[in-house]
Amino acid sequence: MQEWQVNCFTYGTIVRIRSLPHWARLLVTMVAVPSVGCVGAVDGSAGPLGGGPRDVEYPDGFEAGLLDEPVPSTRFARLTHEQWENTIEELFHLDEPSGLVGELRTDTAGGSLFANEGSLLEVDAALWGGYQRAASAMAERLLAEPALLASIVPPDEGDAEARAEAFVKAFGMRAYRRELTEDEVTTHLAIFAEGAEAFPNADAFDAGVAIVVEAMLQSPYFLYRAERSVDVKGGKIPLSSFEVASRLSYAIWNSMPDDVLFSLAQSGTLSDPTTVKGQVDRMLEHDKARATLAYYHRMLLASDRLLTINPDQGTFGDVAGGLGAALETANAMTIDEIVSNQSLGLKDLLLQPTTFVNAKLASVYGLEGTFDADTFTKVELPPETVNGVTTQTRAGFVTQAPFLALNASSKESDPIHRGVYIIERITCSPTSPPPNNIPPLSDASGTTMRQKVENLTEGEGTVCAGCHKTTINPFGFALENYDAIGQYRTEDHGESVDTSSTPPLDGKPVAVDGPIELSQALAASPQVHQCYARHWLEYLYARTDVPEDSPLLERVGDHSLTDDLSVKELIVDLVMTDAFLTRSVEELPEASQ
Amino acid sequence: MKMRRRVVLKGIGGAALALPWLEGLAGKAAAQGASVPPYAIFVRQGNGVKQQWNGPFGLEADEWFPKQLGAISAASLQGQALESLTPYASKLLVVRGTNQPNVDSQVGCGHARGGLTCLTAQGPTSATMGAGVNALANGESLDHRIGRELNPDGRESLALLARGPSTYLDYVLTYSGPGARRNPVTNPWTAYQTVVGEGGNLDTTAMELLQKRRKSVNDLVRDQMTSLMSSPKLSAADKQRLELHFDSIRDLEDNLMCNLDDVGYAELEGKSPGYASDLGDEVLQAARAHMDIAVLAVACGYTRSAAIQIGSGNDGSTRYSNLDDNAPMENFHYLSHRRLSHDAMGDVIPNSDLLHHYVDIHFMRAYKYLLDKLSAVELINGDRLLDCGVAVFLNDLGNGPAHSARDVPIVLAGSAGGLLKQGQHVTVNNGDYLEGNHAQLLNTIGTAAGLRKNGDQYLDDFGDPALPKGVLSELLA
Repeated sequence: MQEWQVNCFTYGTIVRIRSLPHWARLLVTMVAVPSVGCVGAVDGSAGPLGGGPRDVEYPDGFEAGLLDEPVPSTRFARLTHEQWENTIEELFHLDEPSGLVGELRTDTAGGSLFANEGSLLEVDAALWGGYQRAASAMAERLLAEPALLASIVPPDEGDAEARAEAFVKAFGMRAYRRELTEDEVTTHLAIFAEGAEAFPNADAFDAGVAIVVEAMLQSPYFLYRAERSVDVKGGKIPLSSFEVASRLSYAIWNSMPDDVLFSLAQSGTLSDPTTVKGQVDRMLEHDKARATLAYYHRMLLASDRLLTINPDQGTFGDVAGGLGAALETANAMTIDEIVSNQSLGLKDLLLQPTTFVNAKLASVYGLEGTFDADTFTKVELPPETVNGVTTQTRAGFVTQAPFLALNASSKESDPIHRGVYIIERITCSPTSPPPNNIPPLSDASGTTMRQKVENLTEGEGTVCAGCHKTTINPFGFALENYDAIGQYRTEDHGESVDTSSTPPLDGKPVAVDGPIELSQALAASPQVHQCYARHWLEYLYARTDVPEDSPLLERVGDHSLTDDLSVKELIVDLVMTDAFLTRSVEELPEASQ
Repeated sequence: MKMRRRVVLKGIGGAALALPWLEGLAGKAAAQGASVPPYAIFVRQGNGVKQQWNGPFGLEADEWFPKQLGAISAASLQGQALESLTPYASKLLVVRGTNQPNVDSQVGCGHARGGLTCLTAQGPTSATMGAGVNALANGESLDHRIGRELNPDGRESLALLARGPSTYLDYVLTYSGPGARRNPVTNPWTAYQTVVGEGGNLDTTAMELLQKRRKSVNDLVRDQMTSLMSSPKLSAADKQRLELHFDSIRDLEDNLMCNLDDVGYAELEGKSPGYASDLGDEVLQAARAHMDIAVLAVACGYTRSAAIQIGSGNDGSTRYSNLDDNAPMENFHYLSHRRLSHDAMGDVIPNSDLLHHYVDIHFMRAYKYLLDKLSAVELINGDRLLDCGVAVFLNDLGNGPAHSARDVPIVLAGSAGGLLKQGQHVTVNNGDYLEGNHAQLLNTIGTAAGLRKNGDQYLDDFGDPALPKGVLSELLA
């Protein structure tokens, strides 16, 4: 018997059972096993992690944030390597990244969508050695660059001991992101005193600074976002002002707090919601937040993979060459324009026909006019005329070339994987893996891609039909107006394309005809808005979502839908909560067993 | 890469350059004692090999395994991908008939299945079933088990990776436990520093200063971590992670035996930069540097296991060179599919079956380099390091186009102190298909590396308990 490959193309929603309470583990296990498969998306009964809507009654007097419960999470989220490098840059007031991140062994494990899940980031022998070398290199750089060293120490007013103590306190606060205790000051001054012997060729004070820096950069208080608050108030553990400052800065800026946040933390005012709200608003307007918004969407859309697509030259001609890179650029610029420049939200991402094109992409979209090969120009994609019929052919990102070409094979459209992407990443519904020994689509009977997919996957009583017929294919079929590189079409291999389908949304089938209606249906779906909020929660909270997050996600999702929240406003909604600003009194499940 | 150029440059020149640095290990290894304990070094290739398969070119001939079962000879290797191993024919044990557990339907991607089962003999965790590229193995990998049970202080095994850029499936090979995929070291220079600690080739005074500085800092950090770990409010998971961190803090030892000499530094510098390249020649050079480090680590007693992954999960960006003209070929994943695409749609690549064979030859030449280095280290009793343990070459797929879990290509070199058969091409289970007997293979390798059950029995509990158990008697001397 000839074997065939299992098609390797899934976005895989990761659920980590070990981080859930026992009762939730059972439920997750139930929805995770293949036999349950696509049920959640079809009938809305996916259980605690499914995407279907749930009825939640809020008590009278409910205000945003008051009822959002914190869930057990790590007290020691290790900095990601990007956060580490950003922090080094700001801690030493550098003009550019230090490059020392190259000393750190890469983080390739895990599997979380955003690679920042604190409970998964470890320090092993290889990484510890990297931290050591990087700390030594930074200490040696300080000794080699007097101006750099001067930028982190108090001015010399004649009293070396007082100056050393002032340095330890001030630099220590910025390195540990909290004030040092008196004992810690004493301990670090003892290290400071060893500097002269450790660096015999350096000035004694400078040598003390160098060895303290070397020590602090290896401290767990620097390498982890340590949250040590334990005092319970109202059934929760409020974070200290310094801990709030770090949570905000690493969530929104991917780096350490700035002087404003530290100043507020020192005064203890980050326990005041109004103050926190003001800081969140300020931070979201900073360029560092723009980078965060870009990163989130790059990971969510998996747009890095555009660089690996390889449209078939024989089918698409010259436009195929370098198309992936052009699409990747256009996608990043489009996200930046909508989310950062225009401060818009999910609805706009799904509905706005805004994009950026160079000459190559203008050709893909059939645009008239003159476009430069290297310059990307913002355009509103206009209606297209195909076979004498003029119609609006584009809406938001699922109808634009980056998404369509990314979710296609080299020659043909790929309704299955377009559907899988939408189900997993846009509706947050679980899907089952494909069974063994699937023949390639190219061997299926039929003329159009839709016919081939239907014949291969929708046979009555087959194992494939369970997921494909009512869940996966309907999303993909609605996008059959686009070929493998996202060009609009009304025919496929000489036959008219059929884009009518009934994808499942919010627990029921929704009839759509074509990509515009699909985009509108997605934009109007509470499930889709909750899913988008869920991914933001994963990123901002640096953890996988859990069932207890559901009320919060439903509220934020509904807010996004009904009030046309911008992405920035959605972030405010998620961080201005007790779920973000407090800790749970319950420790992680393993501790209570 | 940040090499210590001052160290590299000061010693270059003269007679020292004439000697490959690892040969200098002979004396160093001898200083350890009469022998080196058994070990296992794993080298992994992805995408399957060109063995018999019915594809777009019709029936493709097997050009990988020795031509006949039984004694391996120059004639049986001639023309096959393994031909470059001819000088080691008497040290080889080539294995046919091992099959990975067939868990494709639980994973959703053949590459991911191959990667996660390769050294674990486990399917995916229940939490990551169906997660495709994000699926994680439901158990510890063999290299880690060896390190945990046999290394000094339970030190983790060396996990090394040389590969080009990947946006699909990156590292797949080693796990510290269920769902806990490890982070490999990619830069050989970092791998070296991990083994020796910082300070290699410093003069005595500088070394003493660095040691003292390190100790002061380490003492401070240990105190801080001890304080953190003593908190009753710490969760078990947090405590476990902090303990791993705590255990990773090592004081700097003046471990002259493990330090490279100047020639070694220079060689490492020359090989390392391509560890993340998409050019196969550079990736394989970096893989050779990783092999140098693995041999060094075994010879000086740092570890008894190391696992080297070459290429990303599906090696989808690396372009190995054409043996006819040295030009980069299409990326390996395309060649393994025989098509100009990562799927089954693109145009067929002319001669891609032959080109896949060329890639196989490249990997075998790299593997031979490992055998050369192991063989170059002579112990005080006259044994060679190669004979003390086992160097394992394996692929995480049987073949490319079908992503087969069957008949996964395996080469073992070295007898592990006489435990393993040598100079033979064998098939297991009388050639009959037995799903998941890959677990038996790993139990056999674990046994060869020194793992025992209840103190003196051969290992038989590694891998998914539902899979065939015990060692493969066909492999034992």
